[in-house]
Amino acid sequence: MIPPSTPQTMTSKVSNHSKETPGARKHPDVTLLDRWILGILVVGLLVIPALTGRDAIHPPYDESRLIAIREVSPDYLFLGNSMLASRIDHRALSQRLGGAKSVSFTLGGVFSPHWYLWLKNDVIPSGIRPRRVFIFFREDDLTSPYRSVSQPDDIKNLLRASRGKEEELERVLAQHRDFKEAIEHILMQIYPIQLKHSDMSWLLDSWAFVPILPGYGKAVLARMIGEKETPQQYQRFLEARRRFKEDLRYRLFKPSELRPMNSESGTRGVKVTEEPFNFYSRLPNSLLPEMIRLNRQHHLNLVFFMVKPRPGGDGTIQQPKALAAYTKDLKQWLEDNGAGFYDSNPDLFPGPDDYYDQWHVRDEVKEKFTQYFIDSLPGYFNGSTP
Amino acid sequence: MIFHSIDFLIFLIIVFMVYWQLPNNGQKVFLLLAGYIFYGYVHPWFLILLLASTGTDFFAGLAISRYNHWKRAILFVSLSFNLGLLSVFKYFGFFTQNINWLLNVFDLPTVQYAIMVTLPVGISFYTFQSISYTIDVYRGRIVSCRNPLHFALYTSFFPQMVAGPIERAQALLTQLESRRRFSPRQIQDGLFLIIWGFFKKLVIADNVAPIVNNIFQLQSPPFFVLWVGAFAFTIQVYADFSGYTDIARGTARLLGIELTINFNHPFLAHSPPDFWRRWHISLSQWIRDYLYIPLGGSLCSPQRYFFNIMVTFFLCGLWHGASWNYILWGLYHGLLITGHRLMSVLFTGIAWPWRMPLALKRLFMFLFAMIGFLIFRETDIAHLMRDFSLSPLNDSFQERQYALFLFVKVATYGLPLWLHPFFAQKIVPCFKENRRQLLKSVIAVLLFTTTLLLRSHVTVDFIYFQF
Repeated sequence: MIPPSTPQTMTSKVSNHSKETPGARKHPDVTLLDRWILGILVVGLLVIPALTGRDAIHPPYDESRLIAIREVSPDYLFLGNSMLASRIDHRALSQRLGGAKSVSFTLGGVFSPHWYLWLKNDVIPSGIRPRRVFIFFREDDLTSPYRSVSQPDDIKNLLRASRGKEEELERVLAQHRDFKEAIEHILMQIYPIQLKHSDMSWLLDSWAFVPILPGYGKAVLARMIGEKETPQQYQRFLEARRRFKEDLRYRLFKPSELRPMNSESGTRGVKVTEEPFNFYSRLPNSLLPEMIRLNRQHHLNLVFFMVKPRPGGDGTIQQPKALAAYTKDLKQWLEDNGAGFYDSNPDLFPGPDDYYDQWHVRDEVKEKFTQYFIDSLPGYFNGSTP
Repeated sequence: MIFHSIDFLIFLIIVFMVYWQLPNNGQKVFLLLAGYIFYGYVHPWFLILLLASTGTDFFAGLAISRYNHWKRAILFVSLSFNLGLLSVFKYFGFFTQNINWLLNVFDLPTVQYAIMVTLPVGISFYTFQSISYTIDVYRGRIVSCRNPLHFALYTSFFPQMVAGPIERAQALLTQLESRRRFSPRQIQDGLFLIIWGFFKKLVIADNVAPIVNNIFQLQSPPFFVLWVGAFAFTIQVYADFSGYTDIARGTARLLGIELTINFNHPFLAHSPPDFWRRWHISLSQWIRDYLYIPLGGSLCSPQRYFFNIMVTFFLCGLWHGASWNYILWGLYHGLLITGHRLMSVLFTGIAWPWRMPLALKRLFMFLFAMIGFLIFRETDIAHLMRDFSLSPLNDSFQERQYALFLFVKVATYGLPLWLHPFFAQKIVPCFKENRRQLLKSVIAVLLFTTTLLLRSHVTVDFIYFQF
């Protein structure tokens, strides 16, 4: 007789399970207390983290950029991300331009939302008008505002660059959120404790500095218990900490010490296909019109500099057709609307050996790049270009 | 579909809400559908392989029960099919490269191939799970399953299908067939496991991962920095894999199913055999029952025992990946096991080193495991050889500072992994049942809040997905 479908063990030798099969175990009686405890757990999970860290939604406005502009009163201002940070050497720029003053505002991985807010809330209110404001970008950064604004640290930086509710920014970002991103956005509003991520990471890092910097632990504890005045020694610790991290990044993990990256590392940000990749269809849902409006209204003298990726062995870039068409339209539109534009893709410099990955130029090349930058845009430095 | 995604969160909520509204048979059909959606979410064509493996072993099981004279041949067909799938999708490139290398040595024409094969996620796990069923039917340990729905559910139960635990039919199939009752305590335990799993994955593993990646990207790391990298990877792989398992077990518990415990505090292991009783338990028991014991186990001559252990661990290493470093890792553990056995024999009747304090034994075992994980992580053999040739005397003071900083950072993230057994074994059992549940609820809320606060926002795939 063929036994029923239930598999039965013919021996009692079962691997690492307990002697009784879980399926056969009697479930304990469900008590009211069990339900209450489950209810407390669910409510606790939903409510307690939501109540924690709510001050993170309204962080204080970060005045450091505004203060820097007023203190330096720069002739040339640069906005960008690591594309900029790896390319411009301000000392070389100043030497070359007869002592002209310049300042860069960069944050790794940020794009047009941050640049827009820096223009609107820092450059314009400062009252200072540099001769030129250069924005370094790559490919379609200017019309892809949602790239890199979903991470808590980026959102926190955006909030700190905001003055209250930024309606235009929110309108544009909302256009770009898909269903999943919309849920993530809602979860970020419900659980703003996530915005304190960088603060906690900083604190955890501090713990790792304690054996490296004698006395640092005590200084951090003193800060944590709310010392109002910052002792000078604490500032020295901060400086030593910053230098250690820079050493770690640029000496231990120096790009030339790394194993060769494959050509796809740090690949281009844009997914370009030959299907419509149209500048004009993307323009209305970007912050570019607003940036140009601010440029016109406040005479900011904006110049957009398009950086290029690492070229092939012959020094040339093979831009997809769609991106080339996009760039042409972008250039036309910016120039028609009173802004400057430079596309460095056709230039032979930097060459393949000047990069340490697909996009970032090596530290040793910064000075040379700065000279090349000035030479490429002479009209913007000698005043011949309006 | 990956666990740490909004997609899975929405998926799980829907599955949970609908599942408990359905009658018993409805639950099974629904779970099967959920499993196929889960598995085919990113690459639907992978479902073809899963269905093929499921169909082959279901009919193989039936045929073995019915045609006793042919059972060996039927088993052979089933094994060939499953191992064939693995060979093609996982090992084809590796075998071809090595054959070509050998042919080159003898100046013979090499094999040319133009196909690039994508490794289907979870193939190593579900094929092994399927194989265990067929072998158990062959051996008469279980009776073949006659219901295709039940069997399909056994091979496609979504919480565990892509990265284990590798479940035996006796345990999982029985539960899938039985009626499940909604239990608040089980739901609470399930939620706790899920939260703890996510904490391990998102806070510990994913925050340690960039440190590991940076160190292992160095051409020639300093000695202490390299070993901090090995330590960090040991933390990462344990937190990552055990985190996945806990999420899988917790999810299963939400559905009224109990999965195998796959890790039992492996960092508390005091010897190599003890380590393998605690690490990836479902795999180690699989290879014990289906490889090691059939080869003869330990009930044989010392030479045969050595052979059995080394073959078993060779295949264990190979299972992890088509690369020589995984094989070396397996062989290394084989040597540890045989070395331990040899020492037991040599030191019989002599107290030392067996009188060594437990803490010291655990420390030594952890260091041995760490060496193994260095081999596991370093896929380039030339770099591996160089790693083992480094000397601590060549490190500058600054390099030691870097190593110390990175070590403290990694150890801080990894601290909960050492606190967990202390809490689980010493603190929590002190409380009575209901207070214990309340305590676990409080800990769950704290863990969830900490996860939100400290989670890494760089998406890192689960390490064992690549196997």
